[in-house]
Amino acid sequence: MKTTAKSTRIRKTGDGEWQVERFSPFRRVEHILTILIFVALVVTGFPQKFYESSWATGLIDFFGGLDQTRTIHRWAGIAFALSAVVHLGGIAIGVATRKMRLTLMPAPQDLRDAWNNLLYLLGYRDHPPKFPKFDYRQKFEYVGLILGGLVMLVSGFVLLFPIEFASLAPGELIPASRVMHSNEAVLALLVLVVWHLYGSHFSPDVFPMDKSVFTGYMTVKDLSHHHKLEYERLFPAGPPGANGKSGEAEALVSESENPDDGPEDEPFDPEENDPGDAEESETEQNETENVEGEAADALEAADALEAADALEAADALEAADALEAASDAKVEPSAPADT
Amino acid sequence: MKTDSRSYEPMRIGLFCPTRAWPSRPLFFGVAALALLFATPLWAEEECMDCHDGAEDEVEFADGSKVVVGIDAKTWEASVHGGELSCSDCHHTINEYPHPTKPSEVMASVGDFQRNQAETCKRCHYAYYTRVLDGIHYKQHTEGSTKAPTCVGCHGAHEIRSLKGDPLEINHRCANCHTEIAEVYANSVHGRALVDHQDGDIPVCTDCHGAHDIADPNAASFHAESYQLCARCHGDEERMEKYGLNANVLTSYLEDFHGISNQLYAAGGGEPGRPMATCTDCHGIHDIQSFKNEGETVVVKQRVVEVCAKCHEGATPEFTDAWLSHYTPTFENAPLVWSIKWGYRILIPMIMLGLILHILLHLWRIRARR
Repeated sequence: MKTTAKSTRIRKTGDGEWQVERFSPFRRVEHILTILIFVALVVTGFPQKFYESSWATGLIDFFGGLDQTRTIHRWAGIAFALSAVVHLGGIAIGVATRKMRLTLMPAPQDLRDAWNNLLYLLGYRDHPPKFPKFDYRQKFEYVGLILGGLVMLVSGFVLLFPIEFASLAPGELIPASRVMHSNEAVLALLVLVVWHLYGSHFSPDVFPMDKSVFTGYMTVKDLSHHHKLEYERLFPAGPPGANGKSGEAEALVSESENPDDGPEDEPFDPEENDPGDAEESETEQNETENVEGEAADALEAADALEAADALEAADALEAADALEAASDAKVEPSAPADT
Repeated sequence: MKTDSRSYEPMRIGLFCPTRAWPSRPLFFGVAALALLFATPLWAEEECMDCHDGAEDEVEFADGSKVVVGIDAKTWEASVHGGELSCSDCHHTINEYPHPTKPSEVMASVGDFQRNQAETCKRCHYAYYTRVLDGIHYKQHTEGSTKAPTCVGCHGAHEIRSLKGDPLEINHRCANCHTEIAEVYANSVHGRALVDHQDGDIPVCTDCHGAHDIADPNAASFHAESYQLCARCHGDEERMEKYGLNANVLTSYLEDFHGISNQLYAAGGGEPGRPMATCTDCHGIHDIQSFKNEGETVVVKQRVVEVCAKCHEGATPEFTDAWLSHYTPTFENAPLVWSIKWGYRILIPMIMLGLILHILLHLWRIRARR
């Protein structure tokens, strides 16, 4: 299911632009499925909430009646539950095997980023803070999706199996679930319409559309612009192609199970080009480390168990490295301590 | 007749015009006085009553059903049509003596005869006639029943009358056939209240079932939409206050899952695959009883469990707590529901406000830097 590539792919497009892989093929499919399921749930769920509106009756009629609408809603809910199990299960395995960098996990640094960005937006700073692979806005939305999704799933299953749940918990849980299911749905849709559509479509930064979640790739330029920390992590020695050092010349062959996405698709491991650290013993072929490069992450990891602030399968092994690096960073006072 | 209203002038009837002084006025009143003196009911002219008044003869139809041909002239006179219609207005095939064609010779049963007579009523009461066509009694006729009532079945044939404003009589007429249900109703909360309140506040048969377009009460749609019948009174705050009843029963039901479902079915959401609980499922249909008077909460609870278990197999007393009764959830009676409701009521606007401000700030910053 998950790719176990150790490295981030980069590729050069036809017009000579460098791109970095941001979403593995699995994540792209996951995103499309989530769109489909979400839309199905909204169009079959909201008519049930806004039952007094004429559009509600129109939609229900379109699906062939209330019973049919509910059947679709329930099956879409079950599909959502399955996708949640796959998603969270994948993370659990990734964390357990230390093969995943949890790039979407909120960290204290995100609060500092949010504050600094607010100061920047208000004009008290000249530059926005350097954001990691996913900035606090994206993490907020992701965590919102996960938590909101769990609320919807739990309350949805209570409503689907009321008798069974009433034998385990107080009966008041059922109307409570209904209130929760109904309100959380409104919140989810509002956040999606306002926040996600702005962030991915209407924001002048990306207008008309940030396609990276569909193509899987983001230009190195955009990356350096919006996700400076990730850019610096990937290209500590400068942009690819600029000096030939960190670019295609030394790109590794990917360990990914997935075949290359295109002819110019090249796996790329930034750490490989850095002055190596002999302290780490390479236990596996696909484990390469760079304590200096990972020190920033590692320090964070050390203070809160979130060794990783991301969940990307492609970057899997680095969490393990980061932990090790963390211990190294502690004994090595020269390691960079902060971003 | 008249095409130009501007040239209109009152019509004058020469000799008989009462507005003319002479000779018209004395002549008019004279004739009128004579007419009053010798006034006889219309039917008398037809001489029908010579034979039919008080007659006890029966005529037999082909299927063996019989009808008495006699009527009581006084009853007829006292009916709404008495003095207004003549016999042959309704019995228009029998306009001569000896009678040319008797209904018993051409029709199979009394039922057929009465159904055929409805066509006569139609000539004046067209709107009611068409409504009856939508009703279950007419449907039974089309399916071959000869016992289902037609116009005269409820309103009477020669003692014909409107039943408006006489709730007891309405129930009484339905009870002619629906005897058992009438007895059950009489013992219900409505039936008992009807004894003291006949001002139209208490529902009688026709208030729920309709008078002419009586719907099939066994249809799924009747069950799904029946809450609307109860809603007419129980959603009326003023009327409920008058009797000290909770006016929130309707809204609290309609906001519940079952209420929403039935509203959507009623609004065109198709036929319910299986019935959704509605007022009558808990409170009874003809035997409606107040839960208030049950006193013992345990008894009420047990009754609710039984009701839930009709559809929700394995329902327990704990499960019935899912129904918050007909009251708005408050911190006291449903703390969990109340907290979640208010939690979201605060959380949603706050989150959305924050996000929108963030977006506006972002746009402002981009513009300011340009």
